[in-house]
Amino acid sequence: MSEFKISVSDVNQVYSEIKSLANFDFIDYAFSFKRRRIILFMKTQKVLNVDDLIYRFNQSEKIVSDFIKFCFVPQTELFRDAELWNYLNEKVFPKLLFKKEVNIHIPYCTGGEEVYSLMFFLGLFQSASVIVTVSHPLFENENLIRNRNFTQQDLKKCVKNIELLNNVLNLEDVFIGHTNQMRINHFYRGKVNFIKEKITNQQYVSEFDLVLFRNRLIYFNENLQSTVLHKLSASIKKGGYLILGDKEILGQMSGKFKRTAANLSVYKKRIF
Amino acid sequence: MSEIKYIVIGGSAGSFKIVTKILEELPKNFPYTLILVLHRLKHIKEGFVDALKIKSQLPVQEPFDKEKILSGRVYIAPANYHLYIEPDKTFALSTEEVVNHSRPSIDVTLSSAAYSLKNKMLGIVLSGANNDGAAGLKDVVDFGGITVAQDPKDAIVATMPEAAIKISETKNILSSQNIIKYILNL
Repeated sequence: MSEFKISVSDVNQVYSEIKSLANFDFIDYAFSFKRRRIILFMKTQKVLNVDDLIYRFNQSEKIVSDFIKFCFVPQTELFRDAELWNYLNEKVFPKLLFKKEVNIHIPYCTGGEEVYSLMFFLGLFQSASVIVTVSHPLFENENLIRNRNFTQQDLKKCVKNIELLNNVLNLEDVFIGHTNQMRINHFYRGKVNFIKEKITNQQYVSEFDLVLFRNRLIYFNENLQSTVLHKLSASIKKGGYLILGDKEILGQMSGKFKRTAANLSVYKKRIF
Repeated sequence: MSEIKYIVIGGSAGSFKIVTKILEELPKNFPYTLILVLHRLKHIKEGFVDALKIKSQLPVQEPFDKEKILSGRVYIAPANYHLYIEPDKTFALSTEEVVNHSRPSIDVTLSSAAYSLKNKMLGIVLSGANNDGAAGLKDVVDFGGITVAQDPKDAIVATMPEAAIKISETKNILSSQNIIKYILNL
């Protein structure tokens, strides 16, 4: 990291170029995150300075596309924050998943761990009435998520933290496959719709019962956080739930939601 | 007169004791901001901050994303998040890839702090078992901040301060007792 001295104007220049070449706007993303993505990308591409990076952007659409994908961080894990999943399992899913029709949205879904964690519970509750919408501004994520495999070892790592998993003897109820290629079974995979969507461009009506949006706001600056939270709030039905990351806050939207647990970012949309 | 306003301390295996000692010694009117990046278990959220709180006369907390950084407070990088220091003196969090097998990574915080705080910061690397913090401390040097490494002979696990000394070429190599004195005499 030390060899790259990237200034504010370098960061702005790189993302302006990305906007001009691919019409993808990162202007309202958090500064230090953007700067670090440039530094790491330059290392992987063995690029020594920003001028050279911009030159390469102009020579290759693939490098532009690779850089944009690189800026959508896929790093999370199955059942990240076990306490939250235990809470959802005890307090939220029992009410939600037995409704006649349940609409769940996972926006900016980059890796798939969040979808698969959720699917696990849908399987356990044998919830047939759920439609899960997974959205992302890039198309490539659908294949990435659909073809995602987990190993039994991945699942076993989760078992010690998720109380419910301790009581599940038949992982086959939810997962199919063998030791190193466990996937959610076809029935539940069929419940997932993938769409290309940028939240800020959408005009939502109240349509979702649950929006899982953990650890995405942290990549935005306060302006974009506020815009996105307004959009998400509008997309949730009264009485529906919004789940944020552990250290993310609702800001101006806090009046529209009630926090349902003291230490968890589980918010219920107020009816009045 | 020192320009320092922010102190960023990175620690891993063997650092908890000295961190608690530092917290015990800081007076109520300590005028600086102390930011701690300690390697910790990612699944354990509760208890860690409380264990440090009881040692400190200053408010101790894990910051929320985009929270403004205030003086006279102790901030601890939350479990399983990287902690950035933004140029507008706010915190930003991230779940990006682990660095040196760690999230939070000391390098990530030190490097962003080096860029955002320049000569207003003191970076300290304590005991630990990998190289995390070394590249970050080099950035602190390069951007004009002051650096300190725990004397490897004094550290329970010497690997981390040794790497920091080698890569950052810091000249301030101090025992734990002298690190505390150094902070109190800023």
